[in-house]
Amino acid sequence: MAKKFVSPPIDLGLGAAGTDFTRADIHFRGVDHAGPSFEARVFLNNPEADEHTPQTLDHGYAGSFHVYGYGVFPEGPRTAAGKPPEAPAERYIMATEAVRRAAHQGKKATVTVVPVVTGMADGNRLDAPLKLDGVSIVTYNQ
Amino acid sequence: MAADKGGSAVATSLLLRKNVSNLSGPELAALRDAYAKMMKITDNRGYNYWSGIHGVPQWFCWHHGRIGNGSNAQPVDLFLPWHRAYLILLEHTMRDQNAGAAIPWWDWTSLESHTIGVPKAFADKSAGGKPNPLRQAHIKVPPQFNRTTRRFPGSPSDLPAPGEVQALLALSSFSDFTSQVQDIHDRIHGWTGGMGVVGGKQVGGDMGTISTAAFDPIFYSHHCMIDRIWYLWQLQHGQNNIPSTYLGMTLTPFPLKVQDVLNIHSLGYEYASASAEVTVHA
Repeated sequence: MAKKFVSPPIDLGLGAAGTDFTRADIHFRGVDHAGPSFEARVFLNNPEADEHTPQTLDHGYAGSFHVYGYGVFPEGPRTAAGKPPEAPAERYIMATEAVRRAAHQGKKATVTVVPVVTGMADGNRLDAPLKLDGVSIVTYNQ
Repeated sequence: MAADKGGSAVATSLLLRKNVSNLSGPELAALRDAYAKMMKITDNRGYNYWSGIHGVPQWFCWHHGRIGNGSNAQPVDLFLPWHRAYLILLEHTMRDQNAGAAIPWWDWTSLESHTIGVPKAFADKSAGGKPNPLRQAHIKVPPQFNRTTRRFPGSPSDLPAPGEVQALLALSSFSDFTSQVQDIHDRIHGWTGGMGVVGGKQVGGDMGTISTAAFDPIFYSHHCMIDRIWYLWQLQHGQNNIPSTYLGMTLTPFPLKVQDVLNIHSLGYEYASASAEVTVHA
C-alpha cells in the first residue's frame, strides 16, 4: 500500500460568514509529478482512511485529483533544469460540502491524502508516489 | 497556418474532425493508412519523432506547469494551447501521408465507451488483413525503449459520465476550467494505460505516464476530445478567455504562440456538431 499524507489540524479559513460560505477549495502545494501516476483521494477528519475507505461524505471524503506522472526513471533522463513542466504542480479540488460538514465539527480539520497508483513507467517505485509541500483550505463567501 | 495579427483569419476550407465511432469506412481506412505510413518513416516526418516530442526523448509537453519555485512560483498553464498546437501540426504531417485523414475524437463519456471501453477502431488487432496501426506502435528511443506499446485499460464503468463534462463546461473561469479538464485528462491517461503483468513483472501501460503516452495511437484521439471540450467551452465563455499574459508565450518547440491557437477555424479545422451514436444490430 502506498504511503499516505496526513496533515496536522489546519485552519478551515472560515470568515465572518462562518459556515455560510458559497465555495470551499482544498489546495495542494508543490505536488511532485515526476514519478508514477496516481489518484489522490482526499478525506477530512479521517486520518485512518485508506484506499478501501468508502468515498462518501460520511467518511469525510472530499474528492480526488489525478496526477499524470512524468514516469521518470530513477537513473534515467529528466527534463532540462528549469524547464517549467517538471516543476511540482499546484492542485486543488472544489470540496464545498465536505468542508462545510467539517466546519460544523470545528474550526480546524485534518486532511488525509491517499494515493492509489494508476500508471507507472519501468523502474518507478510505487511505495511512496505522493510528495507535496503543503495543504490549505480556502473558503469563499460569494 | 498561424492566425493573422488580429486572429480573424479563417481558412477557406475547414477540415472536419469527427467522433471516431462515426467515421465512415473510407475515413477510418485513411486514418489507419496515414498512421501506418508515418510509422515507417524514421526522420522527422515519422511517428516515432512526433511521439517523442511529448515525453521521451524530447520532453516538451505542458501539464500543470508553473514557473519559479517556492513563494515565487506562478502557475502558467499552457496545457490546452500546447496540446492544440501539437495536434494540428501532427495532423498536417499525417495528411501529408494521406490527405483523407483527420484526427477523430474518442468520446470516453459515450454509451459505447461505457460498454466496451477502448473503441473498436483502436482495439481491433487487425484491419484490412494487416495489423491495426491504431492499436499499438513501436517505441524506439535508445537506450531505454525498443518495444511495442501496451495498454491495460480499466473497467468501462470507471470512465467519466457525460455530466462530468457538462460540469466542466459550466465553469466560468479559465483557471478553474483548465485545472479541472486536466484532472479528467489525467484520469483517462491512468485508465487507458493501467497496470498489468508482462513476463511475471508488474508494468504500466504506456498511456499511464507522460514519458511514453504519445507513442500509443489512442493518445491523439484522447487529446482531440480534450481539445473539443476546450472549443465547446470557448463557445460558451469566450474564445479569448485566457490570461492575457499567456498570449505571447511560445509553444515550444512549435512555431506558434498561444494567441495563434485560440481560434480553431484560423487553424483550419472544425468539430462535427454532434457525437450522436447509431447502434446497428446485425
